[in-house]
Amino acid sequence: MKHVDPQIRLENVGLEFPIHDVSTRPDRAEKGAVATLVGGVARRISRSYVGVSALQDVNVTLEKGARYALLGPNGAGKSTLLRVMAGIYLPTIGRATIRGKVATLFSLGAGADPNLSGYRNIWRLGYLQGMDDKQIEERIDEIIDFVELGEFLYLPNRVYSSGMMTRLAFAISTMSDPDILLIDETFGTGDANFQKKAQERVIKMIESSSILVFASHNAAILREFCTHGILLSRGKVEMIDEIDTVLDEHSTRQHNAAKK
Amino acid sequence: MKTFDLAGAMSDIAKGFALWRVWWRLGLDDLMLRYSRTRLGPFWMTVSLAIYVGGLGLVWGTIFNIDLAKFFPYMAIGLIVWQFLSGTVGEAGQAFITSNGIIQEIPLPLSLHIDRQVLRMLITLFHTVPVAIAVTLFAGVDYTAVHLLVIPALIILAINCWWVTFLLAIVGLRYRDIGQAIGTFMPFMFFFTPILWKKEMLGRLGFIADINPFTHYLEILRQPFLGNLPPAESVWTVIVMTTAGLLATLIVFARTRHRIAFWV
Repeated sequence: MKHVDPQIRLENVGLEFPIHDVSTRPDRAEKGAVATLVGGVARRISRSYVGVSALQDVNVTLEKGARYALLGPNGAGKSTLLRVMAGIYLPTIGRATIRGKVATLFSLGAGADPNLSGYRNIWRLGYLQGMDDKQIEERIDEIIDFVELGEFLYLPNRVYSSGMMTRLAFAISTMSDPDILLIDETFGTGDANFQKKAQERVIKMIESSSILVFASHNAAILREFCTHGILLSRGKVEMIDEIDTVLDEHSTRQHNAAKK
Repeated sequence: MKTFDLAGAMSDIAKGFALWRVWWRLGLDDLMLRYSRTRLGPFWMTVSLAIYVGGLGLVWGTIFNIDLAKFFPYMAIGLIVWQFLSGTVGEAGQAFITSNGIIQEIPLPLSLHIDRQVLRMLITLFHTVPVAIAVTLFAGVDYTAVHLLVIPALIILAINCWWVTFLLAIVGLRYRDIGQAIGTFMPFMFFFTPILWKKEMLGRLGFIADINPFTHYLEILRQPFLGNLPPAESVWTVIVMTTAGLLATLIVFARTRHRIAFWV
């Protein structure tokens, strides 16, 4: 098999969310509520259809070794852009080319079933992340060790304490070795005791991936892991530069916005 | 703006099949969870169908004074296949909706969620096949080479289960009313499908059975089970419907693939 370097290439990417059946949704009573719930620029196209322009004209090419922070105010399109980079959302305009194995840390424990045991969920999430039996077997001891569930490992997840659930969800979301790692700030990490262990695990994952895109508001974390930044605003790329420059611009803007 | 991406759709389908481990696991988990903490597990499907078939045979035979030895296997196998057909159509609209937590979070081919549901429908069908076999034994059907036609018939039904699930999953995702409407429409269709009655019994109205596509899907499996060759018109109808259905599904998927993640 020919080895190809991982790459994310977005050319003139635009994305418009359709929100259908506005008139029959439970929140129809709050006129205009739909527009403010989601980011971007919303426009009503017909009585029952609202189009939300979440991304416009995005041009980004990330090659092997790229370490990018994704910055912008709430609703700027960060999560949407991450989903385009993951191949979950296909652009409505332009072209997205994604080469390499992608892992997403978007929401903790996505795909796990509360009625399955921790053990079964480890296997399930392993498969969902594209691992085969051998790869899961190689890592399962390490994961079991990490989650510290004891005999709870074989009980259904719904009887877990929230701490146990966080550890398990965290471990199973971070079990693969991706080429491209996409992290959203919404991916929480639970209690303080656990934070350090969890961080070590994410750091290991970050270090072994060839491309990292990290959406966060935490400047310290972004400075530590990222070399460059992308600043988004209302679905448009405002700036792509070295991390410090982008962070400065971002905080200036936030400051100005707060003053208004 | 790319609104028709045939190559993308086909590659999604191929990648979905290649990831059989994922849908195999998800499909088995779905079934296991449904029957968790029961001793019989999925064999409850076998039991419930057996009771249903037995009870209905008894009542129907008594009321209408029909020759049970002949009619019972016809009706029982009809019911078994019908349960599969109506289960497929009835649940199809939910296929993407039930997977929404995964679709939004983990990059996977969309067809994989279809394969997951189809696997569940097929395993369900296979749990009811013992009832069909028991009925043929009970009724003293002679086993001949014709019974081997059951195998290609099952394969054809599996292919149809796949496209029907896929097509209705997309339609049901976008137009939620249609998903609900199909569910209400199936019990109605039951009465227009020759399961509790035979075409000959309707006399002049027998054409109702002929114009109903479900009849033909039913016949290609039911007749071999009873030791008869399936009627040629049923075989042809099913072949045409399978081809047309697969093509239609491919076209609709190529047209809607980039929207599905938003619709869930």
